[in-house]
Order: sequence, then C-alpha cells, then structure tokens
Amino acid sequence: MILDPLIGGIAMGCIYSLIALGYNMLIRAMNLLHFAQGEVMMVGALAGVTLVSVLHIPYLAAIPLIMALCAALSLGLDTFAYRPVRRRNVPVINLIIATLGVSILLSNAAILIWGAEPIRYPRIYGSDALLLGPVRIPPQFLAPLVVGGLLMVGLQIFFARSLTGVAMRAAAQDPEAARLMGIDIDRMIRYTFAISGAMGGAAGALLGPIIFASFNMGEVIGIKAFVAATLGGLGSMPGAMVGGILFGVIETFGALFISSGYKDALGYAVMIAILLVAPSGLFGRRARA
Amino acid sequence: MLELDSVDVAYGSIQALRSVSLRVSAGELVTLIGANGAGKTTTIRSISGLLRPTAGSIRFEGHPIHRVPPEAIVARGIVQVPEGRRIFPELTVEENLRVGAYLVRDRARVAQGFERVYTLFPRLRERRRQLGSTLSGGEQQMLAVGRALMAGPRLLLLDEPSLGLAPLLVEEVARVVTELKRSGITILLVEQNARLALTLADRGYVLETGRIVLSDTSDRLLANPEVQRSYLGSSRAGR
Repeated sequence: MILDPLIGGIAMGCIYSLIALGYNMLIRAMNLLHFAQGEVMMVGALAGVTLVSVLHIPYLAAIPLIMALCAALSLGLDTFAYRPVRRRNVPVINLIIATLGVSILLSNAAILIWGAEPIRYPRIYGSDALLLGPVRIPPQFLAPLVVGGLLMVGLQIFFARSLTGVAMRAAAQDPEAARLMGIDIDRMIRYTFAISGAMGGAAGALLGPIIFASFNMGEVIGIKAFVAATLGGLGSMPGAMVGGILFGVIETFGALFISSGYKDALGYAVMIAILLVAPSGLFGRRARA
Repeated sequence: MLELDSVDVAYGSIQALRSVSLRVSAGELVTLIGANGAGKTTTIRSISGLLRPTAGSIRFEGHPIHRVPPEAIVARGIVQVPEGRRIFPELTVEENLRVGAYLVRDRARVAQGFERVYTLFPRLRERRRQLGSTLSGGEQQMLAVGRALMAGPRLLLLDEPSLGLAPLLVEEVARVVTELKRSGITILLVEQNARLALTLADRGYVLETGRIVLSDTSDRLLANPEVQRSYLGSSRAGR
C-alpha cells in the first residue's frame, strides 16, 4: 500500500512544518536563525508528558497549554537572552551564536527536570485506524494531521486578515517604514517569538506520542525541520508548510525504498541537494535589497 | 505648529546638521530645498524621531518631541512619506493602506480614510488587490502618500516626492500636494526640484551643508539671484 507511508509522511511533515514555521517567521522578521527552535519543541514534548501522565490532563486539552507554555518560554528567551544581545547592536551572527548557547542550555535544563532517559507518553490512542474510503489513518497520525493542519490554516488567516498579522508582515519587510506607520517593531518581534514558540510547542506535543520524548530530540528534529524550511524557502510561510510536508514524505519513502538505517542521513542529503540545485528553495525570495 | 530650534545632528563623528532652526505654522506649506547631501532628509528623519539630535530641540504644538520614538510621533499626528516611497512590496495596495492606519482605532475613520485615498487616487482603487511591488513608480508614490494619509496626519512630511518621476507624474504630484494643502494639512516638503517646491510652497528654507543659509517667502526666493543660480538652473545650465 502506497497510501500508508504517504499518510505517515504527511503527518510527520505537518510536525516539521510547524517547527519550520517558527524558523521562517524569525528569519523573515529579523534574519535570525533560531537554533533553539528544536529545543523549544523538545520542552513542549517533555512538558506534555508531565501534563498528561502526572497531572492527568486530557491530551487534547494539554496541547493548548503546552503551546502557551512554549510561547512564554520563547518570549522569555527573547527578553532575557536575545534582547540584551540585540541592544548592543552586535552583528546578527553573534545573536545566532547566542541561540546556539540557549539550545544547549535548554537541553541541559531538560536533563535536570526530566532526566536523560527517553520518556514514553501514556497510551493516548486506541489501535483502530480511521478509515476514509481507501485511506487508512493510524490513530497516532490523526492529531498531527488535524491539529497541525488547523494551526497552519489559522496562522495563514491571522497573517492575511488581522491588522496585527499584516503589521507583522510589514515590519518584516521594512522595519523603518513600519515604524513610520506607528508600528512598534519591538512588540512585533515579541509576537513573532511567542507565535514561533507556540508552533514549536504544538510540534512537540504532537511528536511526543509518536517517538519517545527526550532531552536530545530537539537536535535531530530541529535540523530536519530546518532542512524542511530550506527546502520550502527560508523566510517564507508557505515555504515552511509545503517544505515540511514534502520533507516528511521524502523521508518516509526514503526509509521505505532505500533503508530506514539511512533515514536521518537522507535529510542531510536532501539539504545538500537543495543548496546545490535551488539554494533559495521552492518559495524562496530573491535577496532583499 | 512645528519648531526646530538650533538642532544639531551627527552620524558618528560626521556633523550632518548644524544649528538648524525652522518653523512651520498650522496650515502652511513650507519647503526645504538644497543640494544632495545638504541635510534635507536628515532634517525630516530627525522630526520623525528616526534620528536623535545631539543638541537643540524639536517642538510640536509646544511639546518637545526630539526624544520621542517614531511610533509615538506618528500618534501625535506627524506622518512622513519617506524618500524612495518605501511601500511594503509584498503587501497588497489595500494592505499597505490599512497598515498606514495602524494607529487609527475607529473603524469608521479607517473606512473614511480608504474612501479619501481612493477618491484622490482612483488608480489605487483599481489596483487594490495587487502587490505593492507590481506598481509603477508613479503609482508607488501615490500609494506612499495615500498610506500616510490613512493615519490622518496634521503635519505631513514629504521627502522628495517627485524624485525619479516622469514630468507628467511630477505634475500629478504637484496637483496632489496642492489638494492636500487645501484640505487643511500642514506640509513640510523636501525637494531637490526647487522650482517645483517653491511654486507650491508659501515659504522656503535653503539648506547648505547642514546649515540654513536662507529663509524667505517662496516668491522672494524664486526671485533671489543666488537661489536662481544655485538651485533653479540658470539658462547656461540648459535645463
């Protein structure tokens, strides 16, 4: 059956898309490559375990809580780590290195809180697949498809329709002109961090039950999502969504047809191929003047 | 309405403005002319709060604004149309205009703003679903002015609105500036095209290497031989 791996690939892809959206929003808004994006997702996955197993909050109710927590975390990172660096008017590369430091900090903090052993989510899903005609959706993939899909649609509507969303896009395109319209750039950057954190948290909450949640999950998944963002086009919102789903599918079929042992290596191969063939990605924009 | 008093502005160690004083009264159209690099844009940017004077003061309706951030200056009613239009290329015309009214909370006033801009520039209404980047230079200038009007400015700062436009479009800019003045907006117009600027303005200031060297009514500046030689292009220059 070709449909089963396709469904699995798209479901994993939705998760990559959510993380990639976080990367691309920050790149678009401030040319910042946020290395700690995967770790924000990891905190979301581990916090999810605590909420569901320890506090016995129903899984679906825990997802918005995790998103709020990760939004607050991401906002906190900006306020206490990145903003002080930015205030010194240093080159953006220094800021990117700061995000690398933050990612290590978060991994270590996670070991202190949740330990170094991978943690299994309690059994959330039944074993019956949802059947839609010939399409069989395994229960663990249902939440990523539905919740991930809804979040992406919601985000698109937010950026297209709401005044704040449009102002965020304007601020990303020309911060100075945006200030001349009365837009507070600092506030737009805070919103960007909060939303990218919420998306990362959602990704963690959706990924946790599929693989084990552990302190180092952010590294591999974070890099894969970054490859997905590159594939779609750095800084592009549609690029992040399409790139994530495409990458999930490529990865799943790669594991199926080549070897699952090469599954992780395949991601890097895809990245090198993109950088060689189409460095700006599918929805890539020309460099801004 | 607007008063600059002995304003100094420096970029690092380079002094861009030296003791610039100028005044714009309510309802006036005042122009600031001068050569490239004389400090015209620097003056406009200081008024908008993008640059901080190192000395002197800028007052708007009696209140000092030289330490106020640009966002808050817009809220007070000073809106700038920046040099080079600076429209948002990946927003539609309509979105560009909507962002112009970012601080306007009253929906009815936003709707009025759209109506006013679309009446002034019918072309923008036709193109409202297009991306800013797809507009021609003249249309982008209309959009930049329209976007500023959406904020409901009391003082409009126009930085080189005719720059890079074909003669026919320069006339269009002149028409629009006149119309805006008639609608009661106070305007500070910065222009390299001194003849155009002085034809439109009530009064003018001449800026040379960061200093105001002349200030007078437009008619007298137009008649001033020095201004004619330096800024209006003598017959020898063959304009």
